[in-house]
Amino acid sequence: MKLQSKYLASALAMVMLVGVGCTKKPVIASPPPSGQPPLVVNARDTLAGASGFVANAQKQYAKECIADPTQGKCKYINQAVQGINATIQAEEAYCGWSPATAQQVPQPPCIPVASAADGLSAAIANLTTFVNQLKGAIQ
Amino acid sequence: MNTLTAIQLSLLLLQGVLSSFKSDQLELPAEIIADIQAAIANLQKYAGTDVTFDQLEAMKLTPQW
Repeated sequence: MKLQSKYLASALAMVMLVGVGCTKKPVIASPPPSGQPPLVVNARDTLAGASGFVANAQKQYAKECIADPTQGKCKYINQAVQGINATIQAEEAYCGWSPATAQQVPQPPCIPVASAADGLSAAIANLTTFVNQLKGAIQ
Repeated sequence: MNTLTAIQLSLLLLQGVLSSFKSDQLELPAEIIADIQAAIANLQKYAGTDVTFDQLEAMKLTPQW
């Protein structure tokens, strides 16, 4: 059992710490294709991993969570969903994007808003906590 | 080896580890394996691409209960 936990922790760490969950020194990160800041790319990669993980958990536990949403894992899944959506909003704010700018053709590039950096970092930290709590609940 | 190759190699190795969980006597819950595989698949979908508004919007989830 200890061995399983060790491997699982490593696997999840690789997936979840791909990006800004480990902002100061990412384990692995996508190269910024067009020179986008590492924070932007790492945040996106963290979101991609978390979104895939949580979306799959939603499918797996839909039946039992709809029947009894008070279960811990059901709450943690919803908490992670909120964390993902909040992180997306924080990243969009950091890039200076909004639904209005999305209507522009071509869409404007990501131009980092320095004042929004702390908000994005905090959102990612929260998301990492939420996903770890979910992992603990379904493990 | 560039960074993207390193990422792909890392993900490949991780998938190998997950496969070993499936085939060996180690008992890792199938749900966890599936969740991690979904995370990897989504990561591979976006890794190495430019971050866009539409891309981020596509990652939003809706509470199901």
